[in-house]
Amino acid sequence: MREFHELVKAHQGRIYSLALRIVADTGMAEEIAQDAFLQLHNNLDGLESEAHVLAWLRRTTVHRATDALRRRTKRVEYAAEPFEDERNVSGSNHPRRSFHALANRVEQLVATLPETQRVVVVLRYQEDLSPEEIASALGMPLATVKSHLQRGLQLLRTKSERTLKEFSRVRN
Amino acid sequence: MYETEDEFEQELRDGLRPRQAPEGFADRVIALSSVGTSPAQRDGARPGQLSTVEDPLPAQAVLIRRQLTHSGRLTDQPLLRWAIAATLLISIAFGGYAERQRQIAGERARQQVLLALRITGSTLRAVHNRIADGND
Repeated sequence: MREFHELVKAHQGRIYSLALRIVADTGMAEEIAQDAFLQLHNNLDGLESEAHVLAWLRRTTVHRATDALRRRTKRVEYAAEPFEDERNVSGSNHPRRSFHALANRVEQLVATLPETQRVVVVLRYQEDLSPEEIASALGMPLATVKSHLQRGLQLLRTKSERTLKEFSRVRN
Repeated sequence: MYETEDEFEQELRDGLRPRQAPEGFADRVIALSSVGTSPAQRDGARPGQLSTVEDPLPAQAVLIRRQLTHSGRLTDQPLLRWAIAATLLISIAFGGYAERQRQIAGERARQQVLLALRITGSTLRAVHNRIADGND
């Protein structure tokens, strides 16, 4: 298995994004991701493979993020800071700029989902986990995961008809 | 709307591609990991128990983390505001001192140039006088 610093570099974006899309706050997401990696550092000896490491990181991040959401009293507006890459793309009509702006809007839509639906949707479409893997990661019955996924998708579809159409047009 | 659900889901997947972690994130994590945690905290930290762990880090690490993270919020800390104000004052004072030093150096250089011109003028006058004497 790789060294700790290599694991951090390999998984930092994924873990930060997972936290960000659950808590919808960049500062809090960074802190959660940092804590997850620091806990990993303390528990690394007990993990056998990199697959275990990633599963452990996901689970830890989701738990920390949902705990943070419950503790938070004041909701911080999402995506107050621009998408990092977007700032490096000059010109308002640049295709990459439009792509990232629309990706931001997809994230914003996901952020409007109820907490459990949001977690399930992010694990399904960011992490590409199967419903069975999500159920295992969250310690939730498979039927419940499928139900949350279905309701979350339905809600997103309703809210995002216009946004995703535009997203698709820019991407193509 | 969308031809198939798969297409809709693909769009969603594209929109949720992982972002890049913030600049310097890995370096901060690696620096913090070198601080270490107490054995009790190590024993208590495992996934699934996170909601019962208030903060898995020792006080020193928490302090460093707070200083390192939220780079945009650093000015929220009173101590840091004082430090920034002190740094600015020192910079201004040093800037004034440096400017005065530059003026003194400029004046000295001007005096040297004037002296050199005076010497050159006297030399020229002496040569001119000698030539005039020779002609007489």
